[in-house]
Amino acid sequence: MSAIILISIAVRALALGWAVHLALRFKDRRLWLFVVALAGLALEQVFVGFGGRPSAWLGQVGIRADVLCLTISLILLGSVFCLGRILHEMRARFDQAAHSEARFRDLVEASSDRYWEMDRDLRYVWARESTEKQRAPFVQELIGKTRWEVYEGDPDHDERWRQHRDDLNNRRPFRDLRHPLTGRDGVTRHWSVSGKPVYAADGSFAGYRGTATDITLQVELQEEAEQALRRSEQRLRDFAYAASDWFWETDADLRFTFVSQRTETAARLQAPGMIGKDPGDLDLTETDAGVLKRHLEHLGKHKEIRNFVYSIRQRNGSLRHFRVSGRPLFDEASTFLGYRGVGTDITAEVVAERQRQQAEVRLAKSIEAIPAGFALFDEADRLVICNKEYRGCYEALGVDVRPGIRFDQLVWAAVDNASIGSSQEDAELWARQRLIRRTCPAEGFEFRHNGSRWSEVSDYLLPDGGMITLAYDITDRKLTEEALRVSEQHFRNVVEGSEQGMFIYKGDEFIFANQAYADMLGYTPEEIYALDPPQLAYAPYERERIRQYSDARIRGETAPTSYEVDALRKDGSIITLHHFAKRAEWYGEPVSQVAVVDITDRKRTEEELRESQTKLAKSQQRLLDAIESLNDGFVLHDAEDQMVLSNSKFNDFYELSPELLKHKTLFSDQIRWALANGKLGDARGREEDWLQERISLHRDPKGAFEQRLSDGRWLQVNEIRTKEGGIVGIRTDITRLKQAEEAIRQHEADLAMVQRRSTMGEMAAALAHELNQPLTAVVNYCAGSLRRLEADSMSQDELVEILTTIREQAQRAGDVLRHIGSFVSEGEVSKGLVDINDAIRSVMALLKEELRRNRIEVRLQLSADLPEIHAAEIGIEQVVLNVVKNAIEAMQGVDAAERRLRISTSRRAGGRVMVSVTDSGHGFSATNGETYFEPFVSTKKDGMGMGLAICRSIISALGGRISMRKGRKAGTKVSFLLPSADEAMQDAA
Amino acid sequence: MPPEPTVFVVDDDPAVRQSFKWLVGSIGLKVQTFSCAQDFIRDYDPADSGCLVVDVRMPGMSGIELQEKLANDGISIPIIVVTAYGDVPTAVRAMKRGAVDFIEKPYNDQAMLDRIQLCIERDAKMRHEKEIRREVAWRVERLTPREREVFELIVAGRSNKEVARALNISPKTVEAHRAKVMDKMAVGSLAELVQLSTYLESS
Repeated sequence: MSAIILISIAVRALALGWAVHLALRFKDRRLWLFVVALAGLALEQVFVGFGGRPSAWLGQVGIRADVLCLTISLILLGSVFCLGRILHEMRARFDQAAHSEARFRDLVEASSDRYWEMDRDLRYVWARESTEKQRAPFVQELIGKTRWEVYEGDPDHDERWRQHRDDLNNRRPFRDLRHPLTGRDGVTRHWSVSGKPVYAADGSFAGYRGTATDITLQVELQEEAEQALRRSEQRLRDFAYAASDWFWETDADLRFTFVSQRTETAARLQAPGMIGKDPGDLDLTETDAGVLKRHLEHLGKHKEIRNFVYSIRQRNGSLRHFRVSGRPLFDEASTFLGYRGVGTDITAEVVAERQRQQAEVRLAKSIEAIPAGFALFDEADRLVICNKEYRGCYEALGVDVRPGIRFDQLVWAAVDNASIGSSQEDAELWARQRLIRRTCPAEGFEFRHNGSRWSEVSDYLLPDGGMITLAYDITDRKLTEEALRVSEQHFRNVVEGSEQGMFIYKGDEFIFANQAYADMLGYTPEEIYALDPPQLAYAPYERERIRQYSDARIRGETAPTSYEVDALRKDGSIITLHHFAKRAEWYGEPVSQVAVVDITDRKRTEEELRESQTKLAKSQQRLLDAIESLNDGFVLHDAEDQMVLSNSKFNDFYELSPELLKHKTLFSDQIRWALANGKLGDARGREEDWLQERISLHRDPKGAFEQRLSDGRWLQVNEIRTKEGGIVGIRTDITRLKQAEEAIRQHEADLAMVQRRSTMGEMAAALAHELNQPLTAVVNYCAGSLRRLEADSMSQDELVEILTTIREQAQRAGDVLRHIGSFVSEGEVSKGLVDINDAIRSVMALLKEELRRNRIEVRLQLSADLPEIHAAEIGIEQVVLNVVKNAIEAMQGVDAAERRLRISTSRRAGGRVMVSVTDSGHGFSATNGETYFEPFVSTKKDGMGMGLAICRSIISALGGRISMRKGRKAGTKVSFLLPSADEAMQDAA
Repeated sequence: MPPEPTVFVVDDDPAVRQSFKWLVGSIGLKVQTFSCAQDFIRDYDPADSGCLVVDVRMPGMSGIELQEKLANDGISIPIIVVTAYGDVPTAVRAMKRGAVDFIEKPYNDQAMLDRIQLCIERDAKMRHEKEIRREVAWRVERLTPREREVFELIVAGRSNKEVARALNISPKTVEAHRAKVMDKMAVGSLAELVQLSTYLESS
């Protein structure tokens, strides 16, 4: 390979690399065309370099070399063209960027006077003045220097520069840093500089870039404005000075720094003396303390003061008053500088005002002193002033009375708010009339308002067109009038219209008699007056008495004032009157004034009442007698459970102590006493529970129940709630009934016993018969044979025959016994798995009635996890039945409360089952425990002795054991142990 | 009248019947057995003397019922009721109704045989008295009314004179009647006459 070719390959590779770089750099797809072309050229040169013949190699893969070369050439041509375009576009883009930069700078320059940049050491690197303010030398001086080196700022002392330095050091942007700068030309200019930090692409601090604006003109203008302001202030001061008596200023410590004065006031105020003093130093003792305090507070807080009035006593003793206003002054930094204000002597004003106020107060007081409501209205009928009384009238009606309100507004408000007259229509009518009256004031008129108040109102027209209204509260007067009217009416009613008779009687004639009195006697009043002597109105036997009473009364002596007297009616009948008499004056003369009530009916009624009370008492007594005579105990408790009454039979039962039989004794106390004294047999042993049950049953009766007394008597108690909530208790002695029942029960028990015995006897008789038959035969044969043998009249054959027969009969007897044994023990029933608990429950169900009849308390303690046993269920039941029946019989001699039967089952080792039946009966004698299981041995007087024997044969047949022993306290415990089903099966097998 | 008394046995048990026949036969008495009460009632002739041995407990008609039936029918054969355990109250009831005797099984053979003997004797005596009574009654029938009156007074112990006064006849007439009575009644002495009269009274 020649060196030229190598160089050619290298050049082409470099060109290819540069093209790839460009394509990646500018991300222009057209550049890749260029890359492809160069790649083709490079490859071609490589082939050539290695001596290959590209045309032949390409021919092998089916590409014609000439076509390939042409293609590459075309691509190269195209890419060169593209490259040209790309370069052109890039140039345009660079131009655009440069243009943009320039424009930016122009903009910056246009908006500010100077544009600058600093490097990271805060040294100026670039600065440019705007064209029209070219000061190139100045700019050139800046380059390479720091700000401190250029300006006269002292960051160590000047707050502004220190702040600026901090901003720069902390790379904070800053804005509007103002500082003066004296140029070379000796002209001082003012600048406002702003800047912000610049960061390089890698994020590192690159310096500051900012602008500076020449604000010299603005600063100058501002100073001019301030001057103008000061001038204006001076003008203001002058103005204020003219508008008020004096003008003043204080410093920040509120000391007067300036007090202007006018000649007149200066003499009075000694204003110069105030210089250096603060307002607190002034003698303000005459000033209102509250106002002064508020004033000083305002001053302390630098608030504006307005129209502060203070008073100072002059040396000559006269009091003068001043009004002061002022405003706090602040500089730009809001630092308080002091006050500036004006003051005016208002002594004359204050004096006039006070006089006016005093006059008003006097007027108001004098108006208030008027005992009636007083109101003054102006010519437009608006309220000017009124007194409390007047205001009160309306306020009571809910109307707010204030000066300026028109009278008609007051009236309508009153109508709307309150009741005047009897209805809304009335009220409106009243209001209209009231307003009409006001147009032509005449004399006062009365009206009622607010329910019960009365007012009398008068209007007076004043010469100036105003109106004075006076309102008197005449409620008391009205009430008195009303009371008088009512009293008169009452009197009239009493005397004339009432049911009560009334007459006035003087010596020997009627002066006055009312209609009622006349009616009582059947006369007209005129006829009454005509009676002579007046005592004719009374029964002959009463006349003297009446006359004496009357005379005595008129003479002023003591005489009965309330008495009954019989009067004689015109028709001759006698009625009874009640007189209420008193002495009275009649036109100055003493008279007898008598009120009369006809009590004839009342007397009759009283009589009847007395009779009916007697009847009632009798009937009550009859009831009590009836209750007492009851054969039953009777007791009545009221709703509070207090006893109302009881009869002696009741007490016979409980024998309560006398104090417990008193009225209002509580039932609970009675029953507690009876319980405590052991009267109640039922409760024995469980007194507290019994008491609770009994009391709750008494409160809520549930019908009749039986009660046993300790003496053996039985009561049937029937408690019934009455309509009034009380409890009537009836106690009937049912002892005989109970005894009869007991007798019947005993009889039944006897009967059952007899039946059972006859059954047993029957069985035994049958058994005996069955056995006796062969035995009899045997005996007969033997006896007959013996006699024949003795008489020697019997042959050998006969003997053999007879002996054979005898043997047969003996065997027959054995068969009978065997048959009975199997009958008892095995039975004909097949065996199976038996649940003992079920068997016990079946038997108990069978015996339920008998247990109940014998009042036996049964307790079953049946173990829940009993295994089943292998037996004939009927056999097990037979055993349980026999044992329980024995137990029942054994308990018959025991007190009913002590009859307890307990049956328990339990699981024993190896799946065996233990059953125990315990009774509280009379037990058995210790010596014969086992013998009871022998047949025909019994503890019972009438027993056959078969029951336990049968039991034993059944249990033994099952492979179990039965035993009997004494109970722990009394009674008998029969237990039997049954083998497990497995054992039983094995035995059977 | 059969000269030989018979022991009648009613029992449902054949072994008992056979053995009883064997026992009673050992003392030479004639035994006739029945398996039930009905058979006995059907076959029995009241003229047959002897005694009846019957068990209380039998199917069908019991011994007690049989005894009641015989009593009602006026058959007076002596009865021995054989009882077993538990039948005592029943047997007592039977005794009160006129049963002759009872014996409890199992019994002593001698006691049983003694009772049978006793009953047979009692039956024989009863039958004998019954015969005499019938004879006396027949003889009394043959007396005239007057002779009957005389007979009764004489038996009551009156003398001839007293009889004559009572009957308002002469003593001689009484004598004649008396002779006739003695003749008709076939007695030789007053004592014999009085003895005969006792059968008459008791009947």
